[in-house]
Amino acid sequence: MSRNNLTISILTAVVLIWAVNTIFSATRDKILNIAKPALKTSQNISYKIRSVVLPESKFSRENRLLREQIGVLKNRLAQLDEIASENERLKKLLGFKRDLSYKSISAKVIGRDPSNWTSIIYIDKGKEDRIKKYMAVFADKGLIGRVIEAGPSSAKVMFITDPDSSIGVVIQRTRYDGLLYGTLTRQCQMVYLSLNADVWPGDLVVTSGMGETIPKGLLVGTVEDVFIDKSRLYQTAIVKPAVDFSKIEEVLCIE
Amino acid sequence: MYRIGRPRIYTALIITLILESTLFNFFKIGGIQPNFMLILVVFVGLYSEWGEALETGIAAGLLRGAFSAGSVGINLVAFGACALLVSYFKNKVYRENFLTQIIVTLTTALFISVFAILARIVMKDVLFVGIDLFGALTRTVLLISLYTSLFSPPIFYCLRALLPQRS
Repeated sequence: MSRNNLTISILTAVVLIWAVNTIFSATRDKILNIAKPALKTSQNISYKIRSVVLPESKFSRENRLLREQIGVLKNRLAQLDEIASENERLKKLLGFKRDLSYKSISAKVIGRDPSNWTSIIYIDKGKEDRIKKYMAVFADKGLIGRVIEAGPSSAKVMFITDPDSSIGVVIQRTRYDGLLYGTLTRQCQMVYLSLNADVWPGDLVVTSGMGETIPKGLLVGTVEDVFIDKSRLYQTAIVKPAVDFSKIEEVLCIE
Repeated sequence: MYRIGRPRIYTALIITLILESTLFNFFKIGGIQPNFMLILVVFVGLYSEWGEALETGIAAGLLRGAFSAGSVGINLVAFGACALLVSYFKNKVYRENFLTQIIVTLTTALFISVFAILARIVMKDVLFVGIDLFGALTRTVLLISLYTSLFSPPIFYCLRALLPQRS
């Protein structure tokens, strides 16, 4: 292929990508809506097949339920710690009052983005059920992501592990803040932690509430490792999400 | 000139997409799932004429993009290019051989993965900090491509029965 042909091919590809994105961005949420009945049926069949192919023994079922309960309690504990530390701070500042409780809308997972480079699920609730773009989405053990597209009766939720996801978070123990990003390798990284930040593996990471779309104090995960960034200006923490993303069947969207 | 026929190809694309989003999550290992849509595009590329292969690639890219969050255009160009590449080389390979099917699928899966990453990095400013991103990505790309290619012979076998050629 000559240099001219290669240039023409690249330019055509760029123009095509731009044109298709422009045309499709307005109609994409409706396409998922059309496929919703088929997705729902197929997902139900999938759950049934899984229960037949991989039947749970009494003990593994009990184990799973107990683990789920531990997750819920851990999350409740994180929220209570958050309230306690907030109380402490507010006592110092005098007179402020805040409520960590929030209303939520439950939804079922009806599918997952098959692409290996994005982390997205489809849920069976949309604008008709008061689901809005950027709503925080929660599973039993912690925050999983937020709504990125809401159609009339279905929506897409982007996980916190997606490279396009970024949310404001704090280390619960020491209140140092940073940004939590997903990566192409499905890890979460808390970046822009100051060099003197007191962060250790095992520290809980919760949402900071900055930006106002995600409530404050939701459990995100646990710090696994901390290192100084290549720029030598910040620290970066590898965060293990509180939720096992492969086993999510129901979620809560926080209003 | 051999063709498979639009209605059958579009039905196959839609069914593949729905199954990939739901039932085929069974095949996920460590968060990695084979790219069944790509296998279908490679099959049409090998067994049909280039116009139909290109149309299948573009339709697959559009469908994938519509159900994803990233750029729709990236998928369209990537799948379209894969279909054209396979069509271009189809007369130079013996398509009935398992090994050929695996190698062709492996090559296109590598191409589409590298294309997807590069496009996302260029268009979405994906974060590069601290970790050995190159090493991790290389491993992920290789694993996805190998996993996808291993599925190609049985799926080609099924598709040959479901989507026979017409002259």
